[in-house]
Amino acid sequence: MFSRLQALWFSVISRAERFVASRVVLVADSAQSLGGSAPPPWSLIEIVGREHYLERHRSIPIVRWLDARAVAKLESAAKPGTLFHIGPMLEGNRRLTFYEPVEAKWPLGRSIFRLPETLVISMALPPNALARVSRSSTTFFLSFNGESYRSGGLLAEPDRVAHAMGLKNGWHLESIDDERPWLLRGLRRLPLSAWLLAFSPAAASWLRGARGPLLSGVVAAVALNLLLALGYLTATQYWREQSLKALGPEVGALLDAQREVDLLAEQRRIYAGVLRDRQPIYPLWGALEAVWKTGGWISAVRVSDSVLTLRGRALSATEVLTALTKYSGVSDPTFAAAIRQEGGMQEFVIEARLSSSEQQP
Amino acid sequence: MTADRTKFLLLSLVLLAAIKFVVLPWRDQQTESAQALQVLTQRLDRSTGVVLNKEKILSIRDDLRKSNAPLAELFPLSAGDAEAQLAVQAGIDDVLKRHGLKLGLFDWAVTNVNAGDALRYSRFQLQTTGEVGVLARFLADIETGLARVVIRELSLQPQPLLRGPSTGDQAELRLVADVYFRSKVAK
Repeated sequence: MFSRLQALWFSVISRAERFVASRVVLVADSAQSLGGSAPPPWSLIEIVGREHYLERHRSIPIVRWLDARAVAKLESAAKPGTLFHIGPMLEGNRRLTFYEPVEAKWPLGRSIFRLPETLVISMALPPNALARVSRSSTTFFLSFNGESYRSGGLLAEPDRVAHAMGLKNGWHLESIDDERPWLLRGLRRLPLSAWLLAFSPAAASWLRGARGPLLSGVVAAVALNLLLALGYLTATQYWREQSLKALGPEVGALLDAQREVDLLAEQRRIYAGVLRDRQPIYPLWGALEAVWKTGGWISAVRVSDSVLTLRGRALSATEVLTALTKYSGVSDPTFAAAIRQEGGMQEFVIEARLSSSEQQP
Repeated sequence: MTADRTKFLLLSLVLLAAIKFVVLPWRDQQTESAQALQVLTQRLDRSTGVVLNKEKILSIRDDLRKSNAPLAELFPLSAGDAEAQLAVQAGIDDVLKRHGLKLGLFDWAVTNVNAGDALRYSRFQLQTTGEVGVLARFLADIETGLARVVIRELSLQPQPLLRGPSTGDQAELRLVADVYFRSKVAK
């Protein structure tokens, strides 16, 4: 059962991953989904290839993320369509990265999120790594902190690029020919702030347009739900009250009678319980008589929870036990202690259960 | 831009106020109505049930009234615990006197315990000394005469031995018993 559920769960997860991958599109020299298929008419995420933007960085001493966002928005307004990323606070500064489109307009389709390729891959890079991403149209270098250079001129060799980027000794090179797995890994590691900034203008505009109808729909649904519930409750209550009236005036008396039946039944149960548990004591005297008939004497008698304990002396304790066994007023008589010889007589302790089968004298 | 933001904030305020002062109270009122309806439905079901089984209910009630009456009479109806205790003490005193026995000890160990519904009980312990045959008759009178008395523990300590029914041997009787009664105030 568990293994079946596990298999079902893995199957669902794998399908979901395939669906997401088919809805993530990399727009490089051509557009292609990360699942390997042709781009769908709409996508969840569009990743802009490095060849479509210029990258620049700026450090500002602003602690509040919202203030940094306001500054970045102002600065990117000069070039419409510019994407930006706000890095974490490092040594009192925030690092802003701007991705300015090379063309007047992004060569993009319809999507909800829009992200630059270098930002996504840099999230997947290990510390102190330099990646060289090569594809047919372009090659570029990308450091783990998100800085990138298109390969060319003096910056065609990894050593020089690492030197230019100021990477520490011990850096290592990652050669990436197929960026798709790196992109998927990087998407999982993107911080929430990056997703907030990646909301595409088209999606934001759609949301602004749909906000009114959506809100109205929600309000209408809540109101309709409350009205329907009110109608149901009122109608049902009215119907129940009418049904109750239709039963006639004797209902009250009958309910009282039923309550009395419950009460009487409970009383009967209690009385019967007390009388049933009442174990009569009188069979005790028959037991004493049986002992005396054998010539025995009694030195102590005790009855507790219908268990009779007899202590006494007789010439033969076994004879006493035999006599008690034959007496119907007690059941299961047994010696409760060892028989001891004392002054020519046997001392005994016998236990038996009083039984009510003996007729009352 | 500022106008948009003001509009958005105003709209949010109106929405929150509507939720707080209209939707939530309305919802609470509906929850109360639903609970009242549930009670009404149960009442209707019960009422329909009793109307459908009218003959049966009345017949069972009459049967139970008849059969319970003699059982209930076994347990005297007392105004309270003190009255019931006094009645038992008086009854036991009568029996002791009738058999010429002297009371060594009488004590209420537990009083006024609810045994269910209107039935209650109190527990007493008693000690007396006498000839064994007299003690046997005393116990028989307690058992047969006071049906509401249930003997829980008994011990008979001969002084020094019981050798037969008519030897005149003396013994000390210790008794722990419960006395059941119906209390008028228990309901």
